[in-house]
Amino acid sequence: MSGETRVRIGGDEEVVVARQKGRTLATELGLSRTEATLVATAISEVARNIVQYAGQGEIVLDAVNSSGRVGVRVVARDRGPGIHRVDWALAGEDASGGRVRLGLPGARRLMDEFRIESDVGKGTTVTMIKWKGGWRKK
Amino acid sequence: MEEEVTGSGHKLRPSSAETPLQDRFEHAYARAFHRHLAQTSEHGLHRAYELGREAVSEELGLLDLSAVHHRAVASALERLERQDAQGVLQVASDFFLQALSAFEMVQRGISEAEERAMLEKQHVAQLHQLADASIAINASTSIEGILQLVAERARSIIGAHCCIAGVQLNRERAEGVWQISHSERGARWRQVLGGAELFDLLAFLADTLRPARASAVSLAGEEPWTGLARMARGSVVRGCIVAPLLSPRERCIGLILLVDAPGGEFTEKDESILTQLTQVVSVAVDNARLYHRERRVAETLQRGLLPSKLPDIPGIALAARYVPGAAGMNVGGDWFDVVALADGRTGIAIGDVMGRGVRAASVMGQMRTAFRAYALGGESPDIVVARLNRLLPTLDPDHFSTMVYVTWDPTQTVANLVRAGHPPPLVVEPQGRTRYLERAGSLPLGVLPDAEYHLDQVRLRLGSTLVLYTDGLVEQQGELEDGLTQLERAVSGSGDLRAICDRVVDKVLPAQSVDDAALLMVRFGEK
Repeated sequence: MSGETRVRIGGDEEVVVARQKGRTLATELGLSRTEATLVATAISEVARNIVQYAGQGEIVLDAVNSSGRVGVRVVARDRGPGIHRVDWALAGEDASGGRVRLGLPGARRLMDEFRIESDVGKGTTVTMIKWKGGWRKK
Repeated sequence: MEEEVTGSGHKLRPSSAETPLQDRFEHAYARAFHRHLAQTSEHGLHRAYELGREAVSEELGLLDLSAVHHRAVASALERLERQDAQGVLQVASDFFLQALSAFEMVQRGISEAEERAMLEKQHVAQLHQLADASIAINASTSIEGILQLVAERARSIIGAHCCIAGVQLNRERAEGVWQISHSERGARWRQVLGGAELFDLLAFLADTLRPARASAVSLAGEEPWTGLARMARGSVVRGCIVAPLLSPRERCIGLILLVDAPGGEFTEKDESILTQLTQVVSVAVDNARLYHRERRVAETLQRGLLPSKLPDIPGIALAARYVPGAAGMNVGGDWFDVVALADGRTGIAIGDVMGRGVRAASVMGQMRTAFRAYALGGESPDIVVARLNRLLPTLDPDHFSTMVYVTWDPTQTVANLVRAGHPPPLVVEPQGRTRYLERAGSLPLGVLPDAEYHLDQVRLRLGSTLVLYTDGLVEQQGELEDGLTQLERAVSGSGDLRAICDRVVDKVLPAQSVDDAALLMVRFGEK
């Protein structure tokens, strides 16, 4: 896990920094422009979530290597209120049945791997990976 | 106003946007783009992403966004002519890509939802088919029929090139019932029938009592699949799935096997559909087994209880037929008997214990034995029948019984008879005239313990024929009258008694009668 980058998130300014670092790492690892753009977008979405619900947190970026594949890993962590119903949050539907098309479900759809751990009252950790050449790969 | 905007995905306008919302958005986009162009930075891209997001939440269409972007780029190229056009386009493309990523999220969400809806729809259709199959399976009473239905339905509901369904209670091949359904490609699996592979699968399921599923990859190396994999001889088999048929005591009595999924591998959902199907089939097979066992026992019992040979009585010709019901548990309580009494009279009886199955047949047997005992005592029919009436509730309080008992005295050519709730005997005079003995009806046995049985006396001359029968012979869906008329017609012709019996069964007995039927014919003064 050498070369990990940590960005404290407290407002829009830091979101831009996290995006920049994510895009740079993706490009360095050989991900395409489109893939790098999707990584930046996913970072924006999870960072937005941190700012909106927890006020502050951090985003950690690093490169991952698994069975010959290279990818960018994004870990977004906060000590906010946590998510009561993770399944709802990810299903892309809010409690009123309305469509939530962006946010966490949106980020999940842009990335190849997505995991979320949340404890009510303790915070939320989102871990996601975009693989090089993993476009649309499920 | 708002509506026009949201529904405007396809409405492209040549000039700048008309609605305030679109107008505002277009300005914001152009400003952000020009700033980014002046100095490219992550800030600019972040702004592009936010504009894309805004476009999504304001429900602007993708084409609207493209038009807005196009106009922003066009004006930039006009204003900044000194700048390298190639460079502008490169920056513009990054900016646009970033704005589009919000649409990408939405698009992927829609595909996901559509896929989910499709799977859901598929599953609902499968459940409907499963319900239909359950009804068909439960309507079938033969194990062969059930298994054939299962093989066909399981294959079409889940989708497989071959489905084998079978019941096997022990390792004796002859004791097994196996059915197969297959596509052209699945035909090669016919060789599994009668092979050791099915026994291996059964042995495996007998231990686990749970369904097992294998992918194309795991098929070759894992139990219980190695036998089938060998049989495939290296050709591709896209998975297998097998589930046990269980007896009520949770013993494995058979299996349903699906081989080679046309759509790839068998899924967990397929397994759950198959499990539900095996539950239905297990119950249906168990019912069919019970049903056949009881029917066989009852039939054997009844045939054993009926006189295998009618007695040889001088001066009397006899013929009888017993026909079990066509299908189902219709082995009934019909019986008849003829006894030579000590004083030269002959006792002739026919009866019908109401009810079906082993119990009715066993009550019938005891009634017949008791009848013999009482009749041989020489008492007159009313006394014999009254005794049987008192006996019946002690054998089985739930059964009624009807009967006719006739004694014939050859010296006086007179018959004494009791008719207890039974259809009237028919007499064929020597000249061929027929008449039903409808007088003197009494209650069936088992209704009232102290019922009195009316004794009737009729003249039966030499050469007359007495025809006794049970309602199964003449009753066609409750229409007794037609049957009685047909019976009269059928017995009035010439011929010996056996030929007449055959004719009656042939002409009178309803085709596919569900009830059993007995017929006893006695001709007096003839040998």
